[in-house]
Amino acid sequence: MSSISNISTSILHTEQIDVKQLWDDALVSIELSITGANFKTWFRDTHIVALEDGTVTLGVPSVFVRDWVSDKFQSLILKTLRELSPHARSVEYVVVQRNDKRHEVSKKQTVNAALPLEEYYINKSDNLNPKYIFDSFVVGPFNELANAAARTVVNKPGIAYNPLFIYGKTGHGKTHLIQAVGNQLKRVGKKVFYVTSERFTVDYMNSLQNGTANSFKDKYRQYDVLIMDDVQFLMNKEKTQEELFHLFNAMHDNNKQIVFSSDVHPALMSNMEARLQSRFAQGMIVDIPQPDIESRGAILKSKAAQNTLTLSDDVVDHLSNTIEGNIRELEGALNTILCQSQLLGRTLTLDEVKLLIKNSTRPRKSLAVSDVVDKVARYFDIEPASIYEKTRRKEVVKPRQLIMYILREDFQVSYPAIGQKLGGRDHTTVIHSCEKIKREIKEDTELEEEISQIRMLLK
Amino acid sequence: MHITTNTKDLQHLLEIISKISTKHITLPILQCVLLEVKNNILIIKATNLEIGIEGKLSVTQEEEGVIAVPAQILLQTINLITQQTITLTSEGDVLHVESQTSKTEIKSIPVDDFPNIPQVTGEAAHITGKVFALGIKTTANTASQSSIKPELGSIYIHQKKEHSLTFVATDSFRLMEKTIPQKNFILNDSILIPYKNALELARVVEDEDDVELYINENQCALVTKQIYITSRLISGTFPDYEQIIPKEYKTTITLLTKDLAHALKKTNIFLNKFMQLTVTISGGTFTLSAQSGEAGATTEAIAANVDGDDVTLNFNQRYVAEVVPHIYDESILIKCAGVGRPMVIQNVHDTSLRYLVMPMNK
Repeated sequence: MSSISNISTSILHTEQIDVKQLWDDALVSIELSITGANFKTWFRDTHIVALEDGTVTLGVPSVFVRDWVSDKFQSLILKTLRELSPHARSVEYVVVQRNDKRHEVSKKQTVNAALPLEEYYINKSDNLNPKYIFDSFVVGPFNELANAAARTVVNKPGIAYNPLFIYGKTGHGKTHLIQAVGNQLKRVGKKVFYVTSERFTVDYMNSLQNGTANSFKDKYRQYDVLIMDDVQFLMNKEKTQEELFHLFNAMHDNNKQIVFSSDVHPALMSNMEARLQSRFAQGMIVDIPQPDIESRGAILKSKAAQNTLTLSDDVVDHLSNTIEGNIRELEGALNTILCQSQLLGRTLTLDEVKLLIKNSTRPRKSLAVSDVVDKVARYFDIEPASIYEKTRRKEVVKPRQLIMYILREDFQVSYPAIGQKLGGRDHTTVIHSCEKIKREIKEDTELEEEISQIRMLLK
Repeated sequence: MHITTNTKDLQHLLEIISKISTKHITLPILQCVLLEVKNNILIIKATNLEIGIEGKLSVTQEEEGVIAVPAQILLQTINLITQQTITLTSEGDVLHVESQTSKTEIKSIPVDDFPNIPQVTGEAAHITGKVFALGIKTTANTASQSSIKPELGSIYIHQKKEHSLTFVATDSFRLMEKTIPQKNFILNDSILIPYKNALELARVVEDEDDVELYINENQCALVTKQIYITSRLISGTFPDYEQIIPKEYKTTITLLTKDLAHALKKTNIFLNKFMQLTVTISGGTFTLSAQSGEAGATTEAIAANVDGDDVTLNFNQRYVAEVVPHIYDESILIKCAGVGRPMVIQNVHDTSLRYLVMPMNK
């Protein structure tokens, strides 16, 4: 497969060189026959798009140029081309804007920070963002299954799992995965279309209003692969659901691959037609749960590498510990670090990172210490008052240490303040407790789980 | 060619059209307007190869014909003619401009050199010229001045919601989004118009109510009762800008628009060469300050309703100040998403406008 495509690209390549050479030679000769002003105005940014069966297709930058050149210079161009290449018999013109310049622009450092627009160029014909590919998709235990299902679909589109239904909370990588499927299938020549359910609804409404419902149907039925993001937004939209139902049947009957994503399991979608729900479940339903801590670390490292940012292991550990769940938040934190380290021109230390993250991405909430105590006490089912007491009973000591750890790590309360708030303890006691929990957390998965549950409670 | 017409009408039309013809050193024909007479109608054309424009005027025709003369020379001449009617006659390569008391001869340029003005055909969509022009004028300044990325040097027009049109422009440091109402209008595909061209389109339709809009793959055209104007379109894609608008904010500030405008006038005096404006939100107060090595420093606290975290951000003052004239509400809403993230400025009530501005790197 790959060798065939290599050959075909190499043929294409030599042809391109030939037509480029041909046009360059032609330009040299044309330049001599007309005035400099004319040449500059009308022949700048022209190139040969194709040379087929003696017809030269010339790309010109605008309609003005097309009309003018075909009107005034047709015979000159044809004569010149014929002298250089006996195959040339006729010339046609198309308006093509070349955006090659884009790649030559280097990212220059400006005083003003720039909006990250580069990442959001999407292909108009299929709505896919070329940035989302399998290579940049970090696979961990949490999304192994989803990744495997997606890859199976790529290998056997329309046959393996149809539809593929991926669900998970926001920021867990659904969109990345389903777009990667699209980008991969596009490479093997499938006609892919990515649409959010919202866009689909608007399109459908417009077509109804316009009286072009048929062309709407045709538009969607022409694709080999349809990827619909966030189908949960179709809840309550009966007409659109019906349209999707028909579209689904038409595509499914023709073995065309359909991929859905949603933030809930199809069975939990209320106000969604039963027949549509059952069809969602017909193929394969996979869940992308919250990434585990190792995966968060791996994602951070991969994202950092993409941005040519080096992160020390401490920093990765800290970030993956403090920012949970949402990958988008991880990205946000990483961007902040990237921004800051570019500014300083060096790698940031752990302390600097902590400070940055504290200010920018952690959802800082001013929680009263007593709140934390109450919630943790309730979690362990003990009296909140016992936390403040000088008791060293085991069932109280652990919650107390956890409280100290959480107050310190999540809310950045100072050691002396924690000690004082929790019944007048010395700050060294607090430091000891925090360090102890930090050590244990690495070995004790149960403890880690407990802490993440407590953090959920505190949100 | 030989025609007689009303001077004021001709002058008015010529004023609109001659703005398009430019001083072009290599192609002198582009400085010209083309006068074409047929069936008692005078058609005046001009183009700069980016935009093509045509205007119609009823005239009394003695003889039909075509001639091209430098736009500015013709316009200046006609501006100085005080009589009500005017006669234009071509003779050889000269255009005679005559009124009761004056006689002028203007040298013409061969008409064969005049480029075609692309005709965009198809189904007309009806738009309200005034609001369409408002959409363009609100966003045009925010488009990129550089030609490296043609899509950022353009205004992106798309339909986000029914019965409306959304105009967006960004130079990657800030982004302006303006939504205008357009009843019963459906735009199937988004378009990108180079911002300079868009401003010319806006100028032509800004006083019009009903305007026809034509779009094809490479060109768009607006047609009023008198004028046909066409611009090329950019074929690139515009970034999916919704993605960069922060979803959550850490700080929101509400203040009077006139207070902000006032404070900006003061900080404007003390800007350094980076035009650095410091915005400080601390303990519920909102302060603008500027400092320059040569002039000194100033600080202005503005009465504001502040909600959320403290933050200090630096901006290019020009970027912040540019949005103020487009805010029609009495109060302005500013939302910060934290350090290194864009700040959003909008009206408190009117949601048709959103402006994003990135802070400075330090």
